[in-house]
Amino acid sequence: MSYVAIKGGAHAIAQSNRLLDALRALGGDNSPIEAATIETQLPLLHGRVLSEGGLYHPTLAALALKQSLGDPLEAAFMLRAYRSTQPRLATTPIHDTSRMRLIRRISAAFKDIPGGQMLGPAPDYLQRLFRFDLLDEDQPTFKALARDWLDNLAEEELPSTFPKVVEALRAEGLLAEADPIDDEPFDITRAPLVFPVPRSAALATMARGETGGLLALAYSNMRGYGDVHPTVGELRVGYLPITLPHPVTGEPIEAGEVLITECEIVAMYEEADGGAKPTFTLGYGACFGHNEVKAIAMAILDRSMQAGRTHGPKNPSEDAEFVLLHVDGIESMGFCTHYKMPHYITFQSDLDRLRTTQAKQVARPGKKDQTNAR
Amino acid sequence: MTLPERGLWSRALMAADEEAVIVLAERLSLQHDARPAGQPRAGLALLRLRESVALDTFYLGEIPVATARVALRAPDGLYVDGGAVLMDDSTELAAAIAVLDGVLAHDLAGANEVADLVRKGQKTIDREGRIRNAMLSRTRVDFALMGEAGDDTHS
Repeated sequence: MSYVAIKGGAHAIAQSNRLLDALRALGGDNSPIEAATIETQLPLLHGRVLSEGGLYHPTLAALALKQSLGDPLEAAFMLRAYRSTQPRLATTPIHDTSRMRLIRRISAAFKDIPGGQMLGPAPDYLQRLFRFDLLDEDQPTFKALARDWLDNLAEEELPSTFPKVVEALRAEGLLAEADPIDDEPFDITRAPLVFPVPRSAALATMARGETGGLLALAYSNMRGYGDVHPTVGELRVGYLPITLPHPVTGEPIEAGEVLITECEIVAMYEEADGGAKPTFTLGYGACFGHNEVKAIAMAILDRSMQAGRTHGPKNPSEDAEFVLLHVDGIESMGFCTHYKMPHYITFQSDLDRLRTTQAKQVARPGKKDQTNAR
Repeated sequence: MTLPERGLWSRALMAADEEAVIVLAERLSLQHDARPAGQPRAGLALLRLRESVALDTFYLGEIPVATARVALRAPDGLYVDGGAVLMDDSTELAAAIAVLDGVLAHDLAGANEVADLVRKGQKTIDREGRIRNAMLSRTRVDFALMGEAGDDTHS
């Protein structure tokens, strides 16, 4: 078998690219969609691209969605390609999510959490019934939505931060004590995963993992191929202020903020070593954008992989190598779509082997030839 | 409205009208003989996060960062520094905000105009904060036992 250089198709490829672009306008009498419109009116899709691209650049994420005709995998790929061309200027100081400016905060563990539960913009209570009026939404009605909601915007007396539910559980001795770990985290953008990997590598890989991939593996655990049995201790959505050192004074200054979703799940309790009290185990998930399914699935997988690390993996979702090598959308999409590329030589080889096998069978009827069968 | 602390100036100026920021910075650059103290740079930073269950740290992803540092001539003829670091990829904007930062920090001529822009930006941020607070307070869950008074009846 060999590879041969071929040429041809350049014109077809150029025309295909042109057609793909024209497709956006061939749909009739419509206007070009603004990148800002994608960011503000499709925030959940936009958030997926931010997190799966691994780069919090809202403008480029919106542009990527526009350019990719709404394909979140292709859009995330564009963000990854862009980031690979950019210099690395800094690593931020350690950020603590207790300083998040929340827009949503719920707990499935307790109804009375310190600071209270606030639903924020939640899709959970929709009835999944069509609102056909949105098919013909006019500009005044659309603008009135925001105007009416903003009407009587009061000066609310709310705390700037809210205590974490897990800290309340820890204070009651229901969780294991934890001391801050400041080891340098694993940088998945610069080093390949060689197993076993530290937990920081697992969290970073899942943070930019594909939502569906994470969900599928976490779902296998939920359905019985595993025993995390999670309770959502707390789910938060909000803006994390980003601080970086001032170039002159070195003092931390606020350089911007990122929207993130964060989830802590409380799982089954475990006996502690050395006769200490048993405590609940925990899992953690977080990602750019508003993506609750991803944060919950990540937290479940974090917990299941910790269990696998401690007791040995008994299910796929407890095997870090299995999970982490299959949740990246760009890698899996790339492998999948490469099958569309010409495989003329390898397939010719398959044809040759099949024909040889068929010829052998004709020569020796009734005798199976397994040597070349796949 | 009081002027926020220096650590919030960059963000406030990013929230202000970008054209107004650039125009004012250009004028004050000429006035104070601004010169770059190093090349403005744009690139990425890794965002390091402490997770809350084992207090371990990991990289959540990357963010765009632009940074600039400038030297400005003060009335005594000596040069003073201004700087900016933004979650943005525009070195032009970073350089402009670095000029405004230096002018305001050292109370050079034009500091009042910069302070006005900072306050305008801060006003925008405060309004955004009020909207977010309303998102929370208007959707606060009012738990009560079945049949008890206090069931959620308000719209």
